[in-house]
This record gives sequence, structure tokens and C-alpha cells, in this order.
Amino acid sequence: MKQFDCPHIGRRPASEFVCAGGMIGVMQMQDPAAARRALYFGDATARVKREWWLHRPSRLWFRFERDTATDQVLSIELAHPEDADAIA
Amino acid sequence: MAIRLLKYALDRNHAEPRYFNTPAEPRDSYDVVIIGGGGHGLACAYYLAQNHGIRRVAVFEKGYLGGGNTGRNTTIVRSNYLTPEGAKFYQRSVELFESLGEELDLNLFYSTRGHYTLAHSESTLRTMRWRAEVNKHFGIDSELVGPEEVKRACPQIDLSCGGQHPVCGALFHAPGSIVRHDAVAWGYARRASQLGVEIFQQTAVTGIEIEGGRVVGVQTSRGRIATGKVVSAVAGATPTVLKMVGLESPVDIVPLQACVSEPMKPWLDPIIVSGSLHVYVSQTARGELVMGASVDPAELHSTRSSLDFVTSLADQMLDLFPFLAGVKIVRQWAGMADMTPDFAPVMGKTGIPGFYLDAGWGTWGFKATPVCGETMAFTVAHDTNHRLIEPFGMTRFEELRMLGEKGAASVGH
Repeated sequence: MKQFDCPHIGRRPASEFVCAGGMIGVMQMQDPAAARRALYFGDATARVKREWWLHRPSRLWFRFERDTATDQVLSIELAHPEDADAIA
Repeated sequence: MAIRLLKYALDRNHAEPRYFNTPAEPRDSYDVVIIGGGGHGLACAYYLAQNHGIRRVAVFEKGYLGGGNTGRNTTIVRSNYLTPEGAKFYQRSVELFESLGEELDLNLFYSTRGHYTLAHSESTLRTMRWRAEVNKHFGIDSELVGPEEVKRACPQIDLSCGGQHPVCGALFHAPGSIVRHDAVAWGYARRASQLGVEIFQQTAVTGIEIEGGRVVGVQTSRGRIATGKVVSAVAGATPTVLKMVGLESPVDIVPLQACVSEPMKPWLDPIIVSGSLHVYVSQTARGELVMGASVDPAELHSTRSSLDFVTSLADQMLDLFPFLAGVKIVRQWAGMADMTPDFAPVMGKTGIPGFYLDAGWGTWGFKATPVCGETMAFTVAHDTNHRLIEPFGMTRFEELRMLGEKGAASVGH
């Protein structure tokens, strides 16, 4: 079974996580036309991508850096660093 | 007998000719260049030559013919979609499929089985009733049936699903069929080739030339070719081709996996689908069960298959058919599905004159092969979107006119 090696919550099965898609800049979301483009269009070729992932059991949000050609996760960071205290 | 066989083996003139001939080198120019030698691209080539008399057409395939999603799907053909746009479109596809073997002069093993989409909850039944009414409105044979009807058509099913999510009804679609997918690609290739279309395998398109805002040619691994019209029918490679013309992609690439069991005596006549359990299954003429599930959880440009997929699929299959516990899975594979946010395709003209797109085929592309070929050929020949594909334009995302096609395969309700 595929697992993610998370520096915060340890080695967990990938099935506990949900991918919520690629990251979109806040600035792009302020203009409606730019927001529509950012939501539905982009560079969808294979590359290293920054994505939002939710760990369902703990309800913690993470930022992943993942290679969409190989499925290799390059880095995982907590979306809200203050959650780190709660985990510890 | 042995001497006849030996003579046949040594004879260069075999009775059965090759399906199509490939010229040694491509010409310098073509009227239309089609990127992708799968079912969609080959069907488009065939209808361009057959319906519109455009025969200076080349199909470039970077791998082998039908080796992409045409050869990786679960071969189901049906038209009981939810939106009026989808239902009309797929209905035309079923009509074309029903006479396609005759038209292509090839046995496609088109086998009408009846298609049951199981409901495990009241809310699913509600969506199905909606689907059935939309279907009936467009003359599509589609109706809601009770669990006893499912049991009659498929006595082996455990309607209680292990007690966890009992079947409370199903959407029944009598014309639901399976068809030999490779043969569809080969049949279109052979007839297109007979009409003058040239097909090049192992030939990648590496760039698309645009001058003054118009398409003027393509770069291939076998040199430059001049053309005023390019059709992209490349499923999982769509973002790469869009990048060649400087367009951003409305599709994301997600693997869709499938597998087959060892062959068994025939026991499963209908096609059984459960959106809630994420399984669809049919039995081939060879006796294998062909099974598919939902798409993988995240974007990935790879045809790797995973143990996670096959274990979760087996788990769901055993809920429906507990007696399969001792049956082995013999093969599994994946295709790269080009998913759109609203589960409907992206087709037709684009912002670049001479560049036509046939994409966004996610998990619903094989069953649309004939109608895609027919409508794309019309669109290319007349430089006007065919009326059946008008709702599928790329601008619908910017205009927030999404289609919400929840009748697509592996989409939960």
C-alpha cells in the first residue's frame, strides 16, 4: 500500500489523505475573470506541482510538493504551523 | 497438410492482406493532419474521407495503433447519460456502433447485453429517475427497475451486498453493449487506409507551427509537414499538445485503472455497474470478467497500475458477488484519462484557426468513438462546429456554463 512519509505525523497510508488540487494564488482569486481562468485552466503537463492535501483522520491540511510524472512526494509542510504544537 | 502449411509460411502472398499499408515516408503536405492513432483519430480520418471526400489526410501515432485509451477501457457502449446534450450525443454514437461492423466490414463482436446501474440509496434512485426521464424524452430505452428485476437478470448477485449497502433498484438500459475495442480502431484504420488516408505509427508530433495566428504545419519525428488543419485526439497527452499551440489546458490527467479475471464459463450476461461501490463489470466472449473502478485520487501522468486499486476493487466486487472469492485477477493496467471539471468533453474549434480539439474524454471516451469521428470530421470539413458538439466548447469554463454530466462512468451521485 502506498504511504506518505510525513515529517509531522509520521508514515501514514496514502488512502487517509485527500488531494484538494493545485494551489492557486490569492491575488488571482480577487478578479472574477482571472479567478475563473485560474480555477479551470492551467499548465496540466507533467511537472513538479504544489498541492493542498487533507489528512482526514486528523483534519490537518498540508502543502505537498509532488512530481506528477512519477508520483514522488518531494516535500510536505503543515498549512498552519500552529497545528504543530497540537500534534506534539 | 504439413506441406500446405509450410508452403503458406514461405509464400510471400498470404491470402489475408495486411490491415493497412504505411507509405515509406510521409508526404510534404496534407490537407488534414490528425495527431493520435486511437479510435477517435482514426474514426475522424475515416469520416473525413468517407463523408466529406477529404482524402489527403495523415494520422500520426507516437506509439502503436489503438495502444492508448482505445485499448485500455472496459469496452462498454451506452447512451443513458444525464444531460440532454450528453444523451443526444451518445445516442448517435450507439446508432453508429450498431451498424459499424457492417460499415467497416469487420466483426467487432458487438454484443448487446443490457446495462444495470445499481442504486444503493434513495438519493441515487432519485438521480436515476431523473436520468431515465431525460433518456425517455430523447427516445433512449432507459427505465428504473426494482431489485427483483436485477436478481432475475443476474441470479448470482447478492442484493444485500454483505448487509452493508443493499441494492434498492437499478437504472436499466437495454441497448447497453460491449464491443471489441481493438477491432474498432483496426476497422477504422483499414477503411480509412483503403480510402487514401495515410497512417504512420511510431511517429511523434513534436511541434505545431503557427504563422499569423493560423496553423501552417507540424513538426514530427520524421520531419516537417505542411498542413492548414490539425486535429488533436490524444487523450492523456492533451496538455502537451495544447502547450505546443500556447493554449492552457482545461483538462487534468488522472489514471483510470482496470483489470481482468481468469476466464470462467459464461455466467454474467448483463453489464453491472455500481456508482456507489465504484465498480463496473462485464464478462467477455472469452469468459474473462472485465472490471473497472473510479479514477485514481490525484493527477498523475503515468500508466502504472497499483495494488491499492486491485484490492479495493476486489473488496467491492466481493460485496456484490461473494462466490468470486476464489477467482484470480490475471491482468491489470491503467490509462491516462483527460478529466474535465464537469465530466463532459471539450471538442471542436479553438481560438486558433486550423487547430481542432477532441479532448476531455476522461472516463467516457471509448463509447463516443464513432460519433466523435463523425462530428469532428464535419467540424474540420466545414470549419463550423457540428450541432451535436456545440455545447462542448472550451469557452464554457470561462463563461461558467458547465454541463454537470453525472451520468459518466465512475462518477458517484
